[in-house]
Amino acid sequence: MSRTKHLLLLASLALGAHAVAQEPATPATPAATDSAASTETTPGEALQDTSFVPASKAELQGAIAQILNVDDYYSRQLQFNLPAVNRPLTISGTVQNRFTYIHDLPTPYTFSIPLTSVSFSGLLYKDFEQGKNLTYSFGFSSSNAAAPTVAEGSIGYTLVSSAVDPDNFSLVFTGGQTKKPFGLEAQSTDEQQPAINGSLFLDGKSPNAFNDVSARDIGLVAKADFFPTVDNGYNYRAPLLTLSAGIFNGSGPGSAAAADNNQDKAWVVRAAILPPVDYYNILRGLQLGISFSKDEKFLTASGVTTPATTVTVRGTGKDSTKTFAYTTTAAKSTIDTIQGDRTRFGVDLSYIRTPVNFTAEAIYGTLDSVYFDSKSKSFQPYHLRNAGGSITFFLNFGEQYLKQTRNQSRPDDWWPLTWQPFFRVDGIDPNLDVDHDFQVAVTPGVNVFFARTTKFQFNWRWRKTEDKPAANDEYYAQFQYGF
Amino acid sequence: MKTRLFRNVLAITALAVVAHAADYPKVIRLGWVGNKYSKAFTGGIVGYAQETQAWEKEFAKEGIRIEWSFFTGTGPAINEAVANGKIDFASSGDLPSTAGRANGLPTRVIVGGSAGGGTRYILVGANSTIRKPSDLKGKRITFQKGTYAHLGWLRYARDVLHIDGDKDTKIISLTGGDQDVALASNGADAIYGGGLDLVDRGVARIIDSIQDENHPTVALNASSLYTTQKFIDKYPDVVYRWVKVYLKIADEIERNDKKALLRRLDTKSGTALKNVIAAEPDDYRYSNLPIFDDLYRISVERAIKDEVTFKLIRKPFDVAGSWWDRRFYDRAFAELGLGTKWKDVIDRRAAKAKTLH
Repeated sequence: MSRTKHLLLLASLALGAHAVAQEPATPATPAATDSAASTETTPGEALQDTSFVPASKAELQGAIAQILNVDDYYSRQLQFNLPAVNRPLTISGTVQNRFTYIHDLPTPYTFSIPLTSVSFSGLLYKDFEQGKNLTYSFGFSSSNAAAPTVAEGSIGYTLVSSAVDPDNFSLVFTGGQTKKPFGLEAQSTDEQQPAINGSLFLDGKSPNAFNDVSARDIGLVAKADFFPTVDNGYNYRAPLLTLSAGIFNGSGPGSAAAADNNQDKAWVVRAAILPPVDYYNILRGLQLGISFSKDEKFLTASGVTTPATTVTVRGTGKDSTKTFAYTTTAAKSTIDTIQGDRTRFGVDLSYIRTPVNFTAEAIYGTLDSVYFDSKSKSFQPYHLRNAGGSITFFLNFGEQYLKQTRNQSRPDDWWPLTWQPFFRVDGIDPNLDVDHDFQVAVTPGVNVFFARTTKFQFNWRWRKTEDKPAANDEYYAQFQYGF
Repeated sequence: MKTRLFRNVLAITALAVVAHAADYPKVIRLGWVGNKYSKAFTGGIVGYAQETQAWEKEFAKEGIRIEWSFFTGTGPAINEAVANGKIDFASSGDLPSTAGRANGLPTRVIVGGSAGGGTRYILVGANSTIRKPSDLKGKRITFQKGTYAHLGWLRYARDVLHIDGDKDTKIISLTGGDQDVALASNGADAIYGGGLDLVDRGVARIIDSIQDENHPTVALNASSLYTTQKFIDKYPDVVYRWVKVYLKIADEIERNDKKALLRRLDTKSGTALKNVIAAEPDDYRYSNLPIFDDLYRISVERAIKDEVTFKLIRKPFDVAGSWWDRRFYDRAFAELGLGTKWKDVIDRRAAKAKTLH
């Protein structure tokens, strides 16, 4: 559109309200003509309304001059000061500033920035008619002084959408680096995971933890839901069955082809069911899910190195009276052809119905490994079995997680305070065949949301490993904020 | 000693009971439908009350604060807020208010309904090949599901086009702003309930207008104003005073013809004055006075019946017997002498109701 046309359009829109006072209304269509003519108030009567005094020529010129100024201002802004993008883009980021007090550490008081992340997401193609949108998402994250790494890099395609028709089933494909569709906490948002620290079975700090299911990976995920119950009174949609399936490298985030030693890839499946009830029903928010993942890897056990040694041997024959020193060749026993399985089976139950919320999750895993048997001087297969779980109760007093309620027209930067007290018990048994290694943690805490994307969190954690003294002096305070 | 202690306990208990009886909420939370441009205003009787701070003044002496919320998610968002105890008084269109109640939301209608009569438009793209309403068959129609427009379109399809609105057209559920973009970018063929500003911009043209005169079964208005049973049980006096202020304003703006102010309120959300006037009902007073009568009851019952037919709700429910709580309205109505003042409208509505039986 040319600049002249642009200005004319702006002026005509701005003066639309005054036009009725300048001359008889000129409705755009016959229907509008009929309607305007039939109202008891005609444009002439509008003149009598003291609120709508006709504009003078000088006032109109002033209004046009003001529009021209605004147009110039925004044209310059557009040309020099505003960034341009090729496709719709949303930039968002999250930062955590944490204060930790752990009494037993050499430096008990610590300030840290455990998370800084930025992400870019948007639409590559928007399909108004069928909702077959093509989306993208990529982002970076870092912890404290670590170099940023790729956190997300994926493309999504909605083959069947429920956005334009909530009664429809849906099918969405996501390819690239993304979360695995396993369990609750591994893929949960803030809404379902109120504690600062992850559960022991997922946080990667405990031996044989299940952090492989919570780590992002590169692959392809398909997610579908079926038989939705739609409550038109609330824009509420509850699919009876949600199925997810994914295939991944199995090597974690940022895994390149060289790091991928998983011949058959890792695959993850999940099924979740929701009761077919309306929004106001007491069972709304209840969900039962099961998850399973399996991958096979070439084991690269380092083996045992036999050092070079010098031995003395007696000669034979004519040299039978002599001795000789003999040095053996150093050797390293390695295996690289044994294929080991890793399986995870999870079951979860959740009830997310503000203000009362509850999540429970259990996971059982196996991991094929090998060890060097010093007696037989050979590698022996070893089948590790481990398990973990968590139970969390939390309350929401406020509107933070009422998505429609908090979306209001407001003249100011209003945001209601939301309090979220919680209590979590979580644990892990790193090896079911070893006694006295069970670890448990109890974490009470509270989160306070005082702006749309800002919360203050305070957690206290009590930890204990079976047969060892408990550690009950971990305190965490954290601001998490984003944009 | 024991006697004195007993007396003290008795006195404290009595004081506590009296204090509880005179209990007032610290805040009265009102929830209304937001507008397309995300401005915190509304029109009509409630808009006038907001502009004049009528409820703020009424409850000032008790120190009760009035909190206004305008939900951009319209009726379904209001239902969510009511279900979670976030608002005390609200109003929404026929589908969201009845769907909420049908599924157990403990709302009680406390003010009668207006007769409606404004004009709603069906818009198509300016260059669309659609020339007449019957051309809409098989086309892509957009509105926000779960709102009044959802029920309106299904009725229009049934009664005017004689087709199944769900199966014979492609419904695209979009909010107001997205509807405009979809029509302008040829992502949709028509908007049900579109605004005339699109027509002014040359983006759209009107294919049909819906008024009581030309499409009475479609234009039938049955929006409801309600509070919750819990709020009534706790603060019945507050409910009564709230309703009385509402009726006083309804009477005041009709008697004194505050049309200029009402129009200014409507234009504050960005709609041009000429479009505000074009969408006004023929008879402002007849269309807007809130009256509990057979016309309102029939309108709501027909909405419920159609919603069951269209499978928007699963089961009907009793309207006048269990959903309405007329006590506050009837008392204020009598005290304000509205039976006399509004007699002409009451009679006209009664006549209209007979035609609907």
